[in-house]
Amino acid sequence: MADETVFDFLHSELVNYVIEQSELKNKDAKDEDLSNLEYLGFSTGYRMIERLTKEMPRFKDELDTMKFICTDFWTAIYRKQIDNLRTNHQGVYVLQDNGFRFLNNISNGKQYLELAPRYVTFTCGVVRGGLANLGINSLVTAEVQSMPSCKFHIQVQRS
Amino acid sequence: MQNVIPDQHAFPPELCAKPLSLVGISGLDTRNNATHKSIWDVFGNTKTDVSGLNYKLIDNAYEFPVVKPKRNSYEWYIPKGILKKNWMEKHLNKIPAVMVIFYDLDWNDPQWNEKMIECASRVQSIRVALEGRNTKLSVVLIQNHSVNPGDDDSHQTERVNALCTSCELNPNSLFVLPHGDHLQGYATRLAGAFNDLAQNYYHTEIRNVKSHREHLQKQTHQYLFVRHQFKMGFLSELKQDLHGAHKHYTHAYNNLLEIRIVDTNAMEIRTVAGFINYKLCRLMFSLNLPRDAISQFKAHTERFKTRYGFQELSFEHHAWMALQNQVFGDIFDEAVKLGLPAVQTQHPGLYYQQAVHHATLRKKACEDLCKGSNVYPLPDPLEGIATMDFYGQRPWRPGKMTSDPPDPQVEWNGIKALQFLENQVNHSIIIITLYGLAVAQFKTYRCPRTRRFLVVQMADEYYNSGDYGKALTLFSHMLWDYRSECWWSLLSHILYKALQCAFLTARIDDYVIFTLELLGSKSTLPKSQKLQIFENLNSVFRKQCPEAIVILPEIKKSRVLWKNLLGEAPQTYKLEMNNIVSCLDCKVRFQEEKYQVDGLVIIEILVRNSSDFQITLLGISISLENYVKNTEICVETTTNQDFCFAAGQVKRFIIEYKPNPADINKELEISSVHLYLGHMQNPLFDLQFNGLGNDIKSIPMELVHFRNCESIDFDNIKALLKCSVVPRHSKLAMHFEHAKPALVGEWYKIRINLADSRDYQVNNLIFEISLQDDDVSDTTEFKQMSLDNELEKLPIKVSLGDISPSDQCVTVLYMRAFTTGERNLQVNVSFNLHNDDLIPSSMEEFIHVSVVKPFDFSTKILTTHFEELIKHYVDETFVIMPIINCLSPWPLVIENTELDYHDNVHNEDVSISSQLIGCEVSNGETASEIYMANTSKVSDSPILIGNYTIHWKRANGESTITKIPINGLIVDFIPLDLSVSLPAYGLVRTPLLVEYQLKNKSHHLIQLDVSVEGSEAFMFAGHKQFQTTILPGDRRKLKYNLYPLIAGSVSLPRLVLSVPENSTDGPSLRQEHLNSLLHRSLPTHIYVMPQMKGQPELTNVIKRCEMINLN
Amino acid sequence: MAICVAIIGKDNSPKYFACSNPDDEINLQYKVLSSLDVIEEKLNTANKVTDFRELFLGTLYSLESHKIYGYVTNTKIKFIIVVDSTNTALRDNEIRSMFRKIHSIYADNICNPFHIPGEPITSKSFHDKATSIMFGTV
Repeated sequence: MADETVFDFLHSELVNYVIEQSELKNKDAKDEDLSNLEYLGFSTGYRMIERLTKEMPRFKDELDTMKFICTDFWTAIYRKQIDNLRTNHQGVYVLQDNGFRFLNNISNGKQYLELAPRYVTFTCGVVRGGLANLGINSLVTAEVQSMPSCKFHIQVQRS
Repeated sequence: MQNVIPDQHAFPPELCAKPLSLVGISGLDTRNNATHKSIWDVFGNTKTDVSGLNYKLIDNAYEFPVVKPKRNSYEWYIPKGILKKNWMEKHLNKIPAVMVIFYDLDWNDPQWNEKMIECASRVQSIRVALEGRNTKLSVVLIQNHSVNPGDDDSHQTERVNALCTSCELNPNSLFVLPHGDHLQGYATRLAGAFNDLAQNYYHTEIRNVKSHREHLQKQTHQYLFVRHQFKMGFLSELKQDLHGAHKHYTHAYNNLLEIRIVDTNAMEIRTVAGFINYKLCRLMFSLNLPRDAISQFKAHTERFKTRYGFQELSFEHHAWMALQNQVFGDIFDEAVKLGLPAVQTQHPGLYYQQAVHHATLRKKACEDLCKGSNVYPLPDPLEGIATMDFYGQRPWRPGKMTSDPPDPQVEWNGIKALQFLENQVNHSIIIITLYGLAVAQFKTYRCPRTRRFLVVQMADEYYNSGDYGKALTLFSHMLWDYRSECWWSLLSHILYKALQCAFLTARIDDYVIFTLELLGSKSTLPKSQKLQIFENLNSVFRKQCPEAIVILPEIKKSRVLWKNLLGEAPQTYKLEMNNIVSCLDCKVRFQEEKYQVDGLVIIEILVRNSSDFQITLLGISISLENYVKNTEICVETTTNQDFCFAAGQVKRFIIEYKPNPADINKELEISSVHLYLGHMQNPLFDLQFNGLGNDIKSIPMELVHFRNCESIDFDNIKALLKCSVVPRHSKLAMHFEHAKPALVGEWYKIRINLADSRDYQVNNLIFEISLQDDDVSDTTEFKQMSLDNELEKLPIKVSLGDISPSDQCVTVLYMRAFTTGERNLQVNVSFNLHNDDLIPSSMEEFIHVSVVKPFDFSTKILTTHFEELIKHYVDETFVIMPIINCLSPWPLVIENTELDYHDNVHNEDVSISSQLIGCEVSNGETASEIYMANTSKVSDSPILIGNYTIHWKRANGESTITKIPINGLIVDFIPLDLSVSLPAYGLVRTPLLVEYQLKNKSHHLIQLDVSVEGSEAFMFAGHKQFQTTILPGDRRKLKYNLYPLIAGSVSLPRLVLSVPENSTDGPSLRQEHLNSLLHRSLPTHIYVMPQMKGQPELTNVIKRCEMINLN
Repeated sequence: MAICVAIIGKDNSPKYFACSNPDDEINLQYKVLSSLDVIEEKLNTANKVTDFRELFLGTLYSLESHKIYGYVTNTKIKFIIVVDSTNTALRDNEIRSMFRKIHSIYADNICNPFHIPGEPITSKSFHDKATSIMFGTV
């Protein structure tokens, strides 16, 4: 167990660091600037996907790719699979994790709800980076209504 | 066959022609006889691939090939070669399978017998000419009169028989061709018949050839096995029997492979193998067996690819290999054109590519072997090459069958002669042509990169052949794609070659461009070469001819060209630098997207020198385009050093541009950036950039986000080539003074101040004020400057004219809104700023005013006891109480109030004066006053009491009058009026007098039972219960003396009036009327004071009033 | 052994190129680049045919002198191996395993913080590993 918590600690320190940095840089800003956190995630996902897809057969299509994100990819990072994947078949995918790793130890319910974005941004970046390297450009946002459940919305950008 | 390269190694035409059954036509005088001509035209023009027939006009002078004597035994026969050169030609074009004799003869021809004999003689003469051949004969009678059904059939039959007999012809071979309308149809039918005959003929021929086979021996007649199978194959083709042909050619090919190859027969076997393979592959494509064709071809080339033959003549082998591939490409392509699907991995281009490969090897072999072959040997060893009997034999030893070594001197001479000839061949043209074929195919089969590679190789070949101009064109066309896919080493490789071409052709502009690109950081050229070309560039700038990179004989010529070029009159070369990854790059951006017309447009130019050398520019400028013209603006510098760029240096330059008033609301665009390089006189190079920078990046921005950057981050600066010019946003501070919110009905004052420190005179200042929302325009009024002015219509234009710098500028606007809600006013100010020029300026502001109610107004209608009334009664006094509840956030001063009664409502008071004058109410406070009135008329609907007018204002505002109607209640009438007179208070144990007065307002008698109910608080004196009658218009007073017993607010003894049960008058007065009358007219309680110490005093009332006994 | 190993990026630009004979590099680059035509075609038709789901694409070009093999990762990175035609020791299976090894070192290199994905690979240790795969010494 200990080795897994290291990642959690690192992640929360990362969150603290990025927020601190952005506050230093931008004192007056109302909203927290989490973009650096997202970029870190992007880079992580982008690099990591290379390793994770090494043994995978070629993906058939976008949905196939998303299934991979929900299963192998998620397991590799969060030790569990996505609980529910939904799509409108027009490029919008909703990935629901009922016990998101970075939220599990924070709260059970609505306390700290307003701080939830800090703990999902990195993951949004990871998903976006992973998909980008697989050739799918997307917008990834997260929605937390009640911790530790989290919904990731992936909106594929077609151009 | 298409695309034949003029080459002695090419396939002979008779091999490549499509074999068709040959039908000889005689008896047609096409020159003199119109009928005959029309017949010939029909036959001659039928499509050969449909009929499979080849018609040939054979006149009387025609000589058929001589029949060779039949060989009965092959025992001693040794063939001198495999395929005779004349054989195919003979069967294609000389020996007809069918000989058709046309003859004009009608059945009822008057000279029937004579003509029949002539016809027979013609047939006979042809038969003689074809003696020894199996050619089928056929006669076609051209008849002008069509046969009528009624004609004598037996006569006709008789004549047919006679004709056939005299011509010795099978009746099946006699045909009639009525010359008329349906010639085409008859011709087709005849063609069918001829075809049958031809098939028959070829069939016999094949059997003939086959019959020879029995006599052949394996050891000595190997050539004949091949020859015979080839013949049968060819005859089958003539017969249009493709499957048969396929079978025989396959046998022929296999038989050929069994022959041992030695030096002397190598060429012949290779040649014939090529022929048979060609036939086989072509047939397989026709039979829709493309896979078989391809594998046959692969096996074929695989088998022969190492059979070089004489080392000294290895170019022949390569030529042969090239030909095989090229021809296969051709027939493949032909099949594709006929509908065969080809794919990217298997298409004709691949074979052309292989052909190129072998043609290149051939060229190389020629260079290696034939360098010294400048003398043609004598006597000519190749003499008689055109009249050789067999394909593929050496002219100096035709028909040699033994494998003994031939005479070495003759051989040597022959080889020398061939080498000499080979040396004359222009290989480059062959290679380039083949590249051309391949390129076209690779383009079709979606191989852009392979195609590009081929084009580069083609350009190389042009270069090798000395056509530097063409090479340069091709190279420069290919650069873009290599650049866009970032294959820098290939790009550098091509550029370097292109640079040489540009040097050799003295294309100075290309030369400089290529050099600039090769000096860039992406170039993979070694540093020493970079230095060399850099110095060459500097030479050009110094008007000196650059040094050649590669030594070629053409250098002298190009030096002259350069000299002329550099010595010419001053010339500027415009170099298009977009899409080029040059060592000089620039990016340009407007610092803002919008500029105001009075400000300076700041343009930032970044120039980077990514080469390893110091480069000095002559100047930098930009072309700025507005809507009409293009202006070139130069970067100004103080020292020359500013334009000197060290290796890898980035510099920033600023250009300031003063926009023109005409640019307002237009776009400015930087159409190009120019870097000047070279020499002021000649040559001057104008490097034109689009200003976007040339970096080709595909790395996601997120991945480089955290990278440290240099001092000027050239790569990450985003170019901005367009900006817009907007009117000067006024520096005037427009200031609105007003106290929000506005109150409904008031004139709301808005002071507009233009107060600031202006430096310039302002001309023609105009305000334009409008309401943003149309919905509220009906309920909003405006006045300006003073309330005495007329109402304004929207939009309100206020022209303030010219204002000098010191002037204050104020205008006042009044707004009155009649409803609550938001009022958004838009204020546009426009003026000309009188600077050096007139600068049109404008500004736009908004005033948001919310309109609220100043107060809430309500009224109460009360009895004189201040109790709520539900009805008025005629002549009964009631109280009106207007209530003003202040809602305004500002205190309101009530200046005056008035109540104007309506008709039928009368004031009770003597004079009316407002009780609220000067009263100030703040938010939440309420002001109210009362008026007493009565009404004299019955009304079933609520009456209007009057209009209440409030004069109010804000503490320092304008007076506002608000008029509010006050509504009353319905008015009823009862005949009885009741009033009471009572002191204000009583004292314990001190009598007080109560006097009730009843009045009959009707014209009838009123009878009433009156009683007074006792009360614990009082003792009283007076009638406790009695009956009374009041006459019309009369009054009755009831007096009681009350003696209060306890203090406090005590209830009075209750007076009860009731209508007697036996009352005789009308129903006008009912008990409920009486009850309600009692309720509203009489107080229920009186306040009784405790007894004062000492002598009790009577209240004034009692003192004044006498004690009157009740009567 | 192979005579050339190349890694081509998503954008079809070369990210890594190694060949046993440096003199032949330009020529091999042209050939490798040309083979991208075949890869592109194979990937375009791959969606229709499910058999193409293996990352190893097999032979792209079989020329008289060389055989060119291709392999495309899920992230559209192309690996190319060029083998001399006369070399019959290397069959598809050996080539496949070479590609696997290259993929493995490539994935490791992508995780190298000093490498920015999409830029040419300059790591020396990567080069050493790649060349030993090429020479068949691993």
